[in-house]
Amino acid sequence: MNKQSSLTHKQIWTVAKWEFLHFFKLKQEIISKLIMLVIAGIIYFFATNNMHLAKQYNIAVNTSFELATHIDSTFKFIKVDDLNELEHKLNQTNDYDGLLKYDFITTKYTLITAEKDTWQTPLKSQLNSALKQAQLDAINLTQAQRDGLAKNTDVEHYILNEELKNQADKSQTYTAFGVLILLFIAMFGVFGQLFVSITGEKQNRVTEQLMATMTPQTWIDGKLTGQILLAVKTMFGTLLSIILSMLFFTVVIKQQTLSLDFINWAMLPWFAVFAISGLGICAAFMAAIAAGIDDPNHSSKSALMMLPIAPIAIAFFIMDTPNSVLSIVLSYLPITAFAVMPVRMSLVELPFWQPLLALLLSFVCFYYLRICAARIFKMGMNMYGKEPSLKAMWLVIFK
Amino acid sequence: MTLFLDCLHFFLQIFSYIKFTKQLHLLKQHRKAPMSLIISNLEKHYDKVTAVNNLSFDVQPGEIFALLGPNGAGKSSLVKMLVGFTYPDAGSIKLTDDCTAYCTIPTHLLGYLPEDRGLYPEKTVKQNLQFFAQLHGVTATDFNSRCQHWLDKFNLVERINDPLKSLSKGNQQKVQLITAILHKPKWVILDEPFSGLDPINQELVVEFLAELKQQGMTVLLSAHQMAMVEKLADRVLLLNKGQSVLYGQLKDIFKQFNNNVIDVIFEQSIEPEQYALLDSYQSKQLSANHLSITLDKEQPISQLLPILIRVGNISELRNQSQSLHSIYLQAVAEHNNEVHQGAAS
Repeated sequence: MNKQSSLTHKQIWTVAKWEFLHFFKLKQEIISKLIMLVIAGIIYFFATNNMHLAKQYNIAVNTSFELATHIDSTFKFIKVDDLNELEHKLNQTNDYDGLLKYDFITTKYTLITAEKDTWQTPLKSQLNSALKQAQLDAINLTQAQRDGLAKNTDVEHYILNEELKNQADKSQTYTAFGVLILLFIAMFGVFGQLFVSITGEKQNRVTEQLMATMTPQTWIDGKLTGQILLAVKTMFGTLLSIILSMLFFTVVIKQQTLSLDFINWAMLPWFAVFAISGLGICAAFMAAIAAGIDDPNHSSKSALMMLPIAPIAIAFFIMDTPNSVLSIVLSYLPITAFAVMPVRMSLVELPFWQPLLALLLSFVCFYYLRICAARIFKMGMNMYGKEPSLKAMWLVIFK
Repeated sequence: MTLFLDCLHFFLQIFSYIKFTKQLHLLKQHRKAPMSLIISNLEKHYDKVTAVNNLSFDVQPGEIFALLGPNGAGKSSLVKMLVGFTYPDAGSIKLTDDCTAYCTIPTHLLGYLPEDRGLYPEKTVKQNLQFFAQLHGVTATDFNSRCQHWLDKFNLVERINDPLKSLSKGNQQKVQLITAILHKPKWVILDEPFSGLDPINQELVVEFLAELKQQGMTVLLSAHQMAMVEKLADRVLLLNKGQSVLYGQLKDIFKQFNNNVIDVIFEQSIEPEQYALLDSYQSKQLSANHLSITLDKEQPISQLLPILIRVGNISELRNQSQSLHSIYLQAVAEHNNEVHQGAAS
C-alpha cells in the first residue's frame, strides 16, 4: 500500500511540476521584470528632468506684477508696454519665453507661449496659488475664518451594534479587498491556463496515454496542484510588483518614506488561506467544465468556466450589509465563502470558530469537487467526437 | 510558501491513501508468479450497437497475442476495457483467479500505445520520455540507459533534444512506442502499432516487439498488417462483429486452413460442361486453364483427384499454402455469411 501510495504522490507532484513549468517561463519572467525596470527608469528620467528647470525664463507682462515675489526666482517677470507687438514676434525672439497678459476688464491673466514645454506647468501652478492667495488677502479674512474654511466637513457614522468594527481599522478592509483583487487576477490566469491545458491535451490526443499511466483522479489532483501553485505565484508576483512600484514612486520619485500601514499583517494569513481554498474550489470547477469540452472552438461550455469568479463580485456588494442574512449565508456557502468571509471578517468582530468553520466547509467542497472533475474527465475522454451534455456531466458525478 | 506547500502535501497524502488494497493485492500476486489474463463472456454495448459480444479468451504470460479483425469489429472497444478505460456490460476480465469480475492490469504493470496517438508536440523528445518515465517512477539512471538503448534501436538518438512536432509522424509514433515501455511493464497493449509506418520502420517495430518478448513482457497487439502478425504472434484472436471468429495458436490455424486450397493448371482451357463436374465444390475460381478450389473440411483431396482427371489433362497441381491474409479474408467472409443466414432464418 505504501509503495502504491508513494507512486501516486510522485505522479501528482510530477504532473503538478509539469503543469507549473508549462506556464512558468523563467526567461519570460526575467524579461517582463526587466521591461518594468526600463519603464521605471524612463519615468524616473522624465520626472527628474521636469523637476529641474534648465534656465531662467523671462516672462513679459503688461502690468506691474506684484505677485512675482510669491513665485520661484527661475521665472523673471519684465514689464513691456506693447505686449501685442511682442506676441507677434514671440516666435522669432529669444529674449522672452512667454507673455502674461492681464485683461483689465475681466481681471484675468492669460499665459501665451510659442510652444508647449515642461517649465510651463510649474509656472501655471505657482501663478494659480499666488492668485488664490492674493484673492484671500483681498477680502481680509481672520485666521479663525481661514481655519474654518480649511476644516474637514465629513459626517462621521457611528454604529451601535458592537459586533461591527465601525471602520476603526480600515487596514483590515484594505487587506481583504487587496487579497480579493489579487485573487481575481490569479483566477483569470487559472481560467486561461486550465482551458488551454486540458482542452489542448484532449486535442493532442495525449489523454489516453496519460490515463494508461495513472488514474484520472491522480491526473486531476496533479493539474489542480500545479494550477494552485501558479495562481499563488501570480498573486505573490503581482503583490511584489505593486509594492515595488509604490516603493519606486514614493521613495525614488517623491522622496518620501513608504508606509505599509494599510496592510493588516495579523489578518493576512487568514485571508491567504481563504484565497487558497477559493483557488482550489474554482480551479476544480473550471477543470470539471474544461474536461467536458471536446473542441474548444465550437463548445458553448467555455463561458461556464467563468462562473466561479462571480463570488468575488458579490463580496464587493455585501460590504454595506455585512450582517444581513444573505451575507451570513454566503460567508458559509463553500463556493462563495472564500470571498465573502474575509470581507465580513474585516467589517464584523467574528468569533474564531466562524471563519474556521467556513474554511473547513470550503476544503470539504474542494475535496469533492476534484472527485467530480475526475469523473467528468473520464467520461469525456471516452466520448470521441461528441461532447458530454451538461445533464450527462451532472449524472456522472453521482455514479 | 513552505507552510502552504506542506499543507498541500498533507492534503494530497490524505487523498491518495484511499482504495489501493485491490491494486496492491494484484501486485503481490504478480510478483509471486506471472499471471494469465482471462476474459470470459465479455459484452459491451453502445446504445444500439453491440461492440463486443460474448467474447472469451485468455492471454498467456510471455506470449505475443494478436487481435485481428476488420474495422468496427470491436478490437478497440475490447482494448479499452482491458486497459480499464471502460467497463464491460457483462462478463469478466480477470488477472488472478480470486478476482471477482473485473480486475484489469494495474497501471504500473501496463505499457499502452493508444490507437489515437499523441504526446506533447511543443516539448522535446527527451522531455516527453522523461515525463512519462517519471510518472512510472523510473529512476534517472534507469531512464538514461533505457532511453539511450531504445532511441538507438529506432535511430532517434540525434533527435533527442528536438521538439516532438519537428519529427515525422512515423518517428513520433516510435517515440510514443518507447514511452509505452520505458518502465519495463509486464504487460504491453499496443493498438495498431504498425499503422502509419513505412516497411523499414515496420520491420523495426517487429524487432522491437521480439525484444520485448525476449525480456519477458506479454504483448497484446491489434493490427491489420497480417505479414507482421505472421512473423510475430504466438496466438491470434480474429474478431468480426464483436464475436470470436478464429482463436488459437497461429501454427494450428495454419494447419487448419492450409492443405485445402488446390491450384490446378490444365493443358487447355476448360469447357463449361467439364467445369460443371465440379458443381459440388462451392469455393472455386476458374481463369482460362487455371483452376483454384478451396476444399471444405468434409471434402478430402482423394475425392477431388478423380474428378479433376475427368475435367481435363492436368499440367500442374499444387497445394497452395494460404497466408494469414487469405485465412483472415476467408474466415471473415464465412462468418459474415453465417450471420446473414442466421438473420434471414
